[in-house]
Amino acid sequence: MNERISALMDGELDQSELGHNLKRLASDHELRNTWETYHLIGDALRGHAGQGYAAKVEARLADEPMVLAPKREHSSAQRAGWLGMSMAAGLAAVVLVAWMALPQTKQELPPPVATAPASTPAKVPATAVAAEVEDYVLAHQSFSPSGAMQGVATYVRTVSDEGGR
Amino acid sequence: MSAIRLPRQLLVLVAALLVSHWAEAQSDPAARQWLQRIYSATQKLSYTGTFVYYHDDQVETSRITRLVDASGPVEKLEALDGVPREVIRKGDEVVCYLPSTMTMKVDKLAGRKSFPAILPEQINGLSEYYVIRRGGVERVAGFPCQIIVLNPRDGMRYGHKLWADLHTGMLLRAKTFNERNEVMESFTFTQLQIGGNIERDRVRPQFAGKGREWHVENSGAELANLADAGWTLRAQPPGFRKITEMTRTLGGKPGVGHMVLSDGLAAMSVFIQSSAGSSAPPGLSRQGAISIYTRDLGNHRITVVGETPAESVRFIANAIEHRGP
Repeated sequence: MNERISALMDGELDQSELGHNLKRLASDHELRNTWETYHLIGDALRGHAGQGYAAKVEARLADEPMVLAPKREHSSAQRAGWLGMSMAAGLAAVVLVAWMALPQTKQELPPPVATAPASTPAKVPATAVAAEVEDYVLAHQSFSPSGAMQGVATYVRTVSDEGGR
Repeated sequence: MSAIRLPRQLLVLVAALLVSHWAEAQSDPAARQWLQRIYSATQKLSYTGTFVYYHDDQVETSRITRLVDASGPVEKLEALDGVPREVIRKGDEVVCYLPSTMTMKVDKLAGRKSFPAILPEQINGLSEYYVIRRGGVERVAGFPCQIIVLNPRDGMRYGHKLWADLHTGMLLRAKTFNERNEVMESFTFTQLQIGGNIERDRVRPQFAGKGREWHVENSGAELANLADAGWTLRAQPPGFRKITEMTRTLGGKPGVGHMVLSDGLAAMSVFIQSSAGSSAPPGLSRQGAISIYTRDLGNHRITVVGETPAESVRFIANAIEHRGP
């Protein structure tokens, strides 16, 4: 059947065959997938799979959450990661001390300026992200009613070993 | 116009009544009483035990101790795997000890109770968004437990399965499920002593008073009205209501807006801060049952964190708007 599809795509089928094959295509899900794949291959070969497809893949990827928990098994690479993390954490501590040394003034939420298009974010080390996320989760934790059921146990999320140390 | 509006309101009212009626019919009242038992057990009991936290194919073991005496409840959580870390909660104050960075994070909000009281009405209200029913009886850490299942009625919240000790009501295991019935995270006691003699030392921080330099990071949380600064929510996912709002210092940045919404079981926090110096890229991330969605709005960064599906945190993040004074 696959040759038929390719013939159909190339317009090589006669009238009667065309009707028959279109009908099969309409009723058969798998065939339609093949049809779409062939078109995709064709488009890619012609170099214009471009905008639509890439955008779709990108949108799909953007929809996938980043899981903030590296696997434990990979030892050496991860150890290097941890070293990076503790260095980053150390740096964060230095920054914190520097900040604490400055006179503290109570700030109002600054009003936003006219909306500027957000620039594409630069890639950042997972360590900084983890430290930031940890602060958010810690601040959030106290207000979750699930804490009223589980007590202080839910704070394990904020002192998780993979949380950035 | 008013002639049209009245029947529509009536229709909404009738629909709401039907829904709540249907909700009542589907939920098991005995299961709701079990939830009430769990909440009051958490407030009353003293205990010490070891539990396992599982998320994203990882397992971590911690020790937890809760002591209630004349001076009120004190709780301590100690990580038993990896670097020793501790969390101590007393009254309205939570302190995290992170020895690897010599950091002490202090979160205190004056007037906040360590355990917000859960009223029976709130538990009944839950059945509008979850089907609550009893499961069988299973043993956890040697204790026979009643299983209670909360199935969400929409995609805006996760499902929960709870195992509560038949005698005390104490929660011994909790699992959170997504819409595909996959476990997002779980807490399980492997060993537990309820009541009996628990020494005060077990809830004291082991790091305090060792004479080393600790960096204290204070949250400086203060109740605030974020609408005064122009920040409002255009819409909320069904069932989620704003429960409190404040400003706090977060990651060294003061004046971060923090708004909390809850459906009575799950909660979401909205953080509003200047986007300068934020390292996390905008987008979606996840840790166990916690979803995080970040986006930029003007020169502000909006971050929503909650033990809810991605859909809910994204909904809230997109519903935040700023109106100039």
